[in-house]
Amino acid sequence: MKLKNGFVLREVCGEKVIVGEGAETVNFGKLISLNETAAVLWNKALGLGDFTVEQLADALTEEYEVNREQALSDVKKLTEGWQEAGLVES
Amino acid sequence: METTVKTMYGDMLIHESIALLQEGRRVVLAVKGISMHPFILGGKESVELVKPQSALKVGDVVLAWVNGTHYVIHRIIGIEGSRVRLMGDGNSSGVEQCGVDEVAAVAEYVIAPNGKRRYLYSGKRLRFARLWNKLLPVRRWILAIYRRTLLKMNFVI
Repeated sequence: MKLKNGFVLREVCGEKVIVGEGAETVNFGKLISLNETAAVLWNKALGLGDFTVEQLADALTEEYEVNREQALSDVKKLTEGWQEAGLVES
Repeated sequence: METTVKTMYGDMLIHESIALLQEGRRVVLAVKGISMHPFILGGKESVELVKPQSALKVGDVVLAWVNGTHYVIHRIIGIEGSRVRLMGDGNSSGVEQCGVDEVAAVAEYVIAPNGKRRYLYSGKRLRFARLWNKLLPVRRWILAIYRRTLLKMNFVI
């Protein structure tokens, strides 16, 4: 899967949020908030382009003290949330 | 790690928005409150803002720093020299004041929760806004009826 174009991770009012953003318009009307870990994974996914749950789980275990099983479960849940929010495409 | 869709309000967000508007970008901001009924449903709808491109006009819906205390998104009801008077369409009293330079943006479109955009200055809406202004003496009662009836069906102008 890959992150859809038009969504940018910004820090707004001290929070990390995904903002719908085109060349002309920045949409603060509906924001998707991410915690620190999710923001790290967002940037990782952005860097990878096409990414898998396994790749993000690897990144999670490298950055944080979490076992692979837990990392896979967390990333799966996170990417499902991104899919529901329309942030990723297959 | 949850993905939470949320709406944010407040001065900090407005300041960030103003910085983007100064760069020439458009900004969509969520609106809260009932003070722009029946044109904008606060808590549900957003407005698309642009930096003022030309002279402000009576009837413009603007984001302004008023009375030296807070931001509002209200309609201009009068301009005298460099002073601007504003009032919420959903208010029956309470006029705010600010300087022309305290008007940070003009709202051009209202964006409904389904993404549909309404141009605030279509012929129909401008005519209704003028009529709405004339109805100020009885607006209180019209608003009361509106909020008990049409608002429940999310009716907007």
